[in-house]
Amino acid sequence: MRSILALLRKDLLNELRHREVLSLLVGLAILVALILAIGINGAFISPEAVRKLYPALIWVVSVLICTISIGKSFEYEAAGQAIDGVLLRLDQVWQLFLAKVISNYAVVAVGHFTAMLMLALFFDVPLTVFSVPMVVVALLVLWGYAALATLISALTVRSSLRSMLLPLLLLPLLFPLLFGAIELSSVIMLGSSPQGVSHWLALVIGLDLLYSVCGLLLFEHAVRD
Amino acid sequence: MAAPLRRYSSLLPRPVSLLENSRYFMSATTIENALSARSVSKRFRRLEVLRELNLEIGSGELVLLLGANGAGKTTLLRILSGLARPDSGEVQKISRLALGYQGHAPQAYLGLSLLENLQLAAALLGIATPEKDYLDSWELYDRRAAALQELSKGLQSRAALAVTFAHDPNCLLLDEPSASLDDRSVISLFARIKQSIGGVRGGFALVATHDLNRLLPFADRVLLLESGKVAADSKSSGIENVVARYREGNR
Repeated sequence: MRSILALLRKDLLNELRHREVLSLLVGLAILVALILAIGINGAFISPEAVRKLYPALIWVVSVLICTISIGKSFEYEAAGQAIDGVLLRLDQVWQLFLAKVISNYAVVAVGHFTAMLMLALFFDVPLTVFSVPMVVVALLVLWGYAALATLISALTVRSSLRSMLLPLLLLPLLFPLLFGAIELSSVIMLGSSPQGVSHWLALVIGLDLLYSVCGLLLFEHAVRD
Repeated sequence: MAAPLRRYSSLLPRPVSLLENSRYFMSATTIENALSARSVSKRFRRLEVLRELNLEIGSGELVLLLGANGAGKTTLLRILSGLARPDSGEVQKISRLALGYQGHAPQAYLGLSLLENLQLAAALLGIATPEKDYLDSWELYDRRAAALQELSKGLQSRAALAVTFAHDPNCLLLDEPSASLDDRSVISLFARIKQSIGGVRGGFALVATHDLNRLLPFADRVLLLESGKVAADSKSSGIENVVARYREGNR
C-alpha cells in the first residue's frame, strides 16, 4: 500500500508541476466540442436529432482526447527511463500497474466529464444529463478504459513510435467497451426501452474485470525488455 | 566460503516480483563467485547482442567492462540487473547482496526534485528517506529541491547516482557512470564504490566504460566484450594486454 501511495503521489506531483496532461485534456475537450458544434450547427440538424447523437458524441470525443492525454502521461515514465528506476525498486510490479490505472482513471474522468459538459453547453442539452445513472455508467466504462489504456501504454512505452502505436492498438480493443457505453448512455438519456440494459451492463463490468486482470497479469511482461 | 544462493530477486532488500519465475534463475545451489552468468544469449529481432556469454565475478572485485559501441555492454548489465530477460542462459548472485543499477539515463523522474525522487525510492524500497548527511556526501544538499531537469548534466548524473546508492547497495552495475562527472566526482564515486563492495559485505561492481584513463586506476580486473562474448579477461591475460587489445580494436 505504501508503494502504491508513493507512486500516486509521484503522478500527482508530476502533474501539479507541469499541468501538461490536464491542460491538454481540458483544452482538447473544449476545442473538439466547439468544432463539432460548429459543424453540426452548419448542417442544420434538428435539436432533437442532436440530442440523439449526444451519447455517441460524448464517447467519441472522450476516447479521442483521453487517448492523447494518457499517451502524454506515460511520457513521464519514458523520460530518463524513470520507469526502470521504479521497476528496480518495486516490491511487486502489479503495484505500478494499479497505481497507473488509478491515476489514469482520475485523468480520464476529468476529461470525460469536461467533454460531457462542453458538448451539453454547445449542443444545448440540459445539464440534467449529469444524472446519477449516467455518471455511474461513465465511471464503470472509464475504469475499463483506464485499465486497457495503461496496459497498452506500458507495451509501447519503450517504442519510439509510442504516440502512434497507442491509438492504433487501443482503439480496436476498446470497441466492445465503447459499444456498451454508447448503448447504456443512449438508454439513460433518451429513455428508450430498457430492454437489454442488464446485458450491456454485464458486458461493461465483464470487460472492466477482463482488462484489469489482463493488466495485472501482463503488465510485468509489457514493461520488461 | 561458499554462500547460499537464492533467487535473483533477493538481491534487493525485499523480494522483487519482476524477477520471480524467470526461467533463467538456477535453482538454489552454492558458488564461490559473487556473480555468475552462464551461456547468456540475447537477441533483438535479427541482431544477436549476446552470444553464449559466460562471466564470473568474485567478492570484492571492481571490474571494468570494456567494449566498442554495440558490443553488448548495456544489454549485459540490464540482464544482470533483472530489467531485461535473456533468451537463454542463467544468472546467479549471492543472495545477501543489494542491487544498485545505474544505466545511461537517470532512471529518475526528471520533473521531480532529488528529494522527491529519494522519497519515492525510499518508499518503494521500504527504507527511511536519506537525510542531510547523505545529500551532503554527494554535495547535493543545496540542490535537493530543484527538479532534475533543471540541473546540469553532471549534477543530474550525480543526483541519479545518489538515488541509486540510497539503500547502500553492494552489487553495483553501472553503465558509464563517469560520462558526465568531473574528476573530483569520479574519485568520490569510486571511493564510495570501493567502500560499498569491500569488507565483510563481499559485494562487487561491474562498470561499463570507455573512460579508461580515469577509471583504470580503480579497477581490480578488466573484461573486454566483443561480438556479445567476453573476448579477453585480465585475470588470464593481464590488464595491460586487455587494454591494449581494446585500444587496438578502437583504432
